[in-house]
Amino acid sequence: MGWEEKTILEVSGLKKYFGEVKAVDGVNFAIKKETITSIIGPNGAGKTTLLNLISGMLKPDAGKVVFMGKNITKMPPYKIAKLGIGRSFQLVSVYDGLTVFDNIRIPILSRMGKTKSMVSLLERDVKVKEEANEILELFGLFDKKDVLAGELPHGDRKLLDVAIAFALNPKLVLLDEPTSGVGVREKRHVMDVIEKAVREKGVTAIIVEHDMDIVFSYSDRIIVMHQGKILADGSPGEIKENEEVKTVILGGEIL
Amino acid sequence: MKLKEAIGYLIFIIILIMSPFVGPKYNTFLLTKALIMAIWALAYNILLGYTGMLSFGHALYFGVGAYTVALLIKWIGIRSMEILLLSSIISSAVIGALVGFLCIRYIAVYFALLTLAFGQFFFALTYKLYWITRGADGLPVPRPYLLGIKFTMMIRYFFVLAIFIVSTIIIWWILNSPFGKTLQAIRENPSRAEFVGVNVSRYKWLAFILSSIFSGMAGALYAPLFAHVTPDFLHWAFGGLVLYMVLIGGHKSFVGPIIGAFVFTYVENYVTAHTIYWPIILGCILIIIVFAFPNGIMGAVYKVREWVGKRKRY
Repeated sequence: MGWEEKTILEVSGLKKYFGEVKAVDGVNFAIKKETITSIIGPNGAGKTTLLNLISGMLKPDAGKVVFMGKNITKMPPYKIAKLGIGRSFQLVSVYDGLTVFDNIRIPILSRMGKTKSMVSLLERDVKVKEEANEILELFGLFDKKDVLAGELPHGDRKLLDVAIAFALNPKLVLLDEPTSGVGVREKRHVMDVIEKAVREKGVTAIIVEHDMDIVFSYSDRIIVMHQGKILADGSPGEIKENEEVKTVILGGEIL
Repeated sequence: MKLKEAIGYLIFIIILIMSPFVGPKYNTFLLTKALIMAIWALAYNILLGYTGMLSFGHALYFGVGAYTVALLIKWIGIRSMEILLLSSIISSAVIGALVGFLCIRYIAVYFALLTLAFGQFFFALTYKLYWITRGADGLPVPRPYLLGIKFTMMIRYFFVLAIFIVSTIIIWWILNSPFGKTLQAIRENPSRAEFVGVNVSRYKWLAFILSSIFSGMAGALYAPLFAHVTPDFLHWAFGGLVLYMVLIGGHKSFVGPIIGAFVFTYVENYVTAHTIYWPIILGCILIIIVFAFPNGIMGAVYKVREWVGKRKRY
């Protein structure tokens, strides 16, 4: 029973085919609370599709996704987000025409259930402002709060995308290559922020990542995907020693 | 800066209050028209500028408002302007909710075409239901009463001015509320909004209904001004004019639609008095706007301001 309580996400028999391509082909795993799990694998292994299935962007052909005891398989994305799953995107997805500050205020308003309010003025909402500033400080974007998101350099846009996910105060974050295109020094910073959130705020993270340095130093657990299936699943130490993983993934395509 | 803006608005309102006392009668008529168009343009820009939805059928809600007034006067004999206006709000909200519900799930060109189709459907209906609407002949709108007082030119003008001020404040408030910011987020990136927990369709629908209501109010005020309504009020070409006004004024600025409505009304009046080639001039202005000032008059104003500011610094 104790095991059940510690599980935050359970994926079983998940399948998604795009015509002949078996993007996700019968995937099973359970994620423990307050852990960082990395999903690695060569391009086209089905990592992003898997995140899209969990977050509701795609509907699976078969299988089930259970989040905190609730079946979320057929829920629309906004409901899944409301339940506490935040995500970021491989290709940056922010509000280009809005300021960095507004980009962060939107998820905070949503989380507080204030987006429907027409009678109050947003500028007067001190609580939203304070929380937004806090998130911006955390991600090192505070000095750029009045810049339009579309005018930020790529690394900052990537950070902002991740920051939007965290501004939801999610219980689970799905991060699709959060450090791709981010400067080497900032990479560590992004991962430190994510780790801090996981350890202090009780967030759970699933990360798709290509940088093996990052993967091996921050993950509690690594799931290796290949051709839509799970090839290996274990602690960083175990994955490093796994011969099959070495030949298929670490051998050529990534490192 | 804030103070400057406030003084600007104040001067604008004082001019509006004074002008019927100093200008010719015809100018009062034109100002009334411009104020009504400004309400409509502001309503339209809730969708275009703030939510990023391009509607080609916005004459429908304007027409529904106008016809509600005409039909209630003709068939039920209601002559009280306040009841007529309230009824128009309700009827345009209902039609807006219905049509909006069917359209908002579609995006970009599909949305535009669907709104066009619904607009033309109701246009045809008004045209064909001769026994109710008198078809192409339209309906006369005899002078109503406001709180029991005859709706004379002056009273009509100040009533429209009051409705314009109140509508502007309400729309400004809504667009600066958390709801308004959420609409802007949807305009920028609907998918991202969905993934932070925003039910995008619901918000688009609400924006659509709001826009319909204020469009309907504009129509309800327009009917007694022209003393006559025809199915043309629902025609898509008439709805194109509101898009035109918003583009002239600048859809990226809150006051842009108001300025566009005033410029359009006065230029149209001047040009049609001097030449029959008004549509050609309309087209030329649009081409110039699109090529040279894609953000309209307000866009140009901001650019000049920025340029002057830079020059001052050096």
